[in-house]
Formats: sequence, structure tokens, C-alpha cells
Amino acid sequence: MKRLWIALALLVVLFSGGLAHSLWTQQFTQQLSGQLLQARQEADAGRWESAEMLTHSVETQWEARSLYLHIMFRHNSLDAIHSELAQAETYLAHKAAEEYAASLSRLVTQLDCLSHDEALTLANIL
Amino acid sequence: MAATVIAFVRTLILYLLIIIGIRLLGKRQVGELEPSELVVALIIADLAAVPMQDFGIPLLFGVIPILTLLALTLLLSMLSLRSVRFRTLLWGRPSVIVENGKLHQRELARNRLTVDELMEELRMQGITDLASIKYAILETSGQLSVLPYASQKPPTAQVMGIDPPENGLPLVLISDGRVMEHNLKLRGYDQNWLNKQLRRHGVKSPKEVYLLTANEQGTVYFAPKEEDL
Repeated sequence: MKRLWIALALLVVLFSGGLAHSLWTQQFTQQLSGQLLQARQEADAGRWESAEMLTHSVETQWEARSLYLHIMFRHNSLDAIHSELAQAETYLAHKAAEEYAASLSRLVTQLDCLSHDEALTLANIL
Repeated sequence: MAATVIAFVRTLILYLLIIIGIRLLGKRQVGELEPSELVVALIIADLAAVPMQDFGIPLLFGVIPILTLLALTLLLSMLSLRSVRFRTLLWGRPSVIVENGKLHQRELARNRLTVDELMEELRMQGITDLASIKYAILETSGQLSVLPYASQKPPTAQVMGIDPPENGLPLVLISDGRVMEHNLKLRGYDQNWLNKQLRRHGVKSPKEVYLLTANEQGTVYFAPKEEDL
């Protein structure tokens, strides 16, 4: 009887853990995407300091969760986002508005993909 | 160097996980796998191999499916223990292939067992004549149990009216030079008894003994260690 409950508990933990991770990913990526879009608007308006602050904030949040992200996601997706963030920082330093905007768009798309890959949808299951 | 260490640690984790999992499933699964359990064992092996080799994949991508499979197998095993109906649904029923020497061709076909395979199985069990079989049953594990007619069975001591002594289980008291203290106590002997046995067989120390066993009747089996071992 004990083994039955252990097995059931394990299944529940795995399923609910997966769901919690999926929700967290959605929330986290939306938050970062929001900040990146805001940074783009700031850069478009010529407010580079504000754009820099927002981009740094995204990078800091990304680095702070690096271990968790590496435990939970395919490393090549994370590496792509990491290098794109570094690229955006470079464009920001040179105040290259168009390249910066393009880089931020790519980042938002990559974050969206990350979130979609983790969502509990029929498309992902099939 | 780092990749080597990662491979080592990942392999260690996955190996331990599988060992713990298989241990949790119980002894029965190790010895005689049901078809579905065999499938689980094969899938687990494959699941473990991928994150062991590809470091770009998180370890959890291997661990979570393995844990899920183990939990499901455990759950189904426990449910089939509790419910006969569920057990039948999951594992099927044993099929009577031969009854009173008569071959059930429909059952053979239903189990996709050819006559050649049946004859091979029977020969492996020392039976060549179908007419000597009372029952041949294809178990859910895929093994064939053959029950010959009573007249075809070898006679037992009881049938022959003999009362042989019951020797019981022999316990190992010395194994490769090491004294098994627990077994010695269990058998009700002490160090003095052991020393006496060693002297009787012409050795001075347990280190010179390869194997020493004693059954419930006190009969001792002694094998000295060979010189070059």
C-alpha cells in the first residue's frame, strides 16, 4: 500500500512540478520581453540611458537564474539568448539604433519560443 | 577535462537512479519480466543513454521520464496486485496450449506461437511426446509451463514410501577465509566449535579455508583454499 502512495505521490509531484515550471517560464519570459520592448521604445525615443538600464536589468535577471535555466532548458536555446543579449549590449554601447532594435526583436522571439516550448499545449504534446 | 567529468557525474547519477528504480520495482521484475516491464526496461536504458552522451540536454530530460516510467510501473504493479480484473486487463491470462494431450490450435494461433516453437519449448523441458502432457500453459510472462500426466512424473520419495532425512539449508560459515559470524550464531555454534572443525580438517586458521558450510543436521562441508589462490 505504501508503494502505491509513493508511486502516486511521485507522479503528482512530477506533473505539478512540470506545470509550475511551465507557468514560471511563461511569467519569466513575458516579464523579460516586456522590459525589452520597453527598452526598444526608449531607444527609439533617444533615451539611451533608460534603454541601457532596462537591458542591464534583463541581463541581470537572466544571469541570476542561470543555474535553474540550465537545469530545465536545452542548453543551445539558452546559449543563443545569452549571446544575443551580449550582442544587444554591444549595439547599445555604440548607440546603433537599428541593429539594437533588430537584436531586441530577435531576443523577444527567442524568449517567446522558449515559453511556447514549455507550455502544456496539444501542439507540444503531439 | 570538464566534459569528461560531466559525463562521469551524469552517468553516475543516471546509473544510481536506474538501480534504485529497479530495486523499488521489486525482485520479481528483475528475474522474470512481463512484456510491458521489458518494454519499460528497454525504454529506460535508452532514456538514460541520451543525456549521458549529450551535455546540451539537461539531465532532468532523462531523469523525469525515467521517474515517470518507474512510478507508473510501480503503480500498475500495485494495482494489479490488488485487483484480479485489472491484472487480467494489464497482463492477460495464461493460455492452455495443450490439455489432456490435445493441442489447442486456436490458442496457439491466438498467441502467435508456431508448432515448431512449441515443440522446441517442450524439448527444452525434456518432453518429446505431446500425448504425455496433461497441461501445457503459456504463462503471461511468455514462459511455457508443462505438467505431464501423473504416470509420466518421476516418483517422489513419498510415493516410494521412503523417509529421507531432512538436511535443511546449509549455511556458509567461512567464505574465502572470512568467518560469517552471523551465520555461525544462527546455526547455534561458537568460535570453539569452529576451531574444533578447523583442527579436524588439519588447518590452523579460517584464512586457510575457502568454504565451510554446515546444515541443520550438523553435517559440515569443507573446502581448503588452494595454494595459488
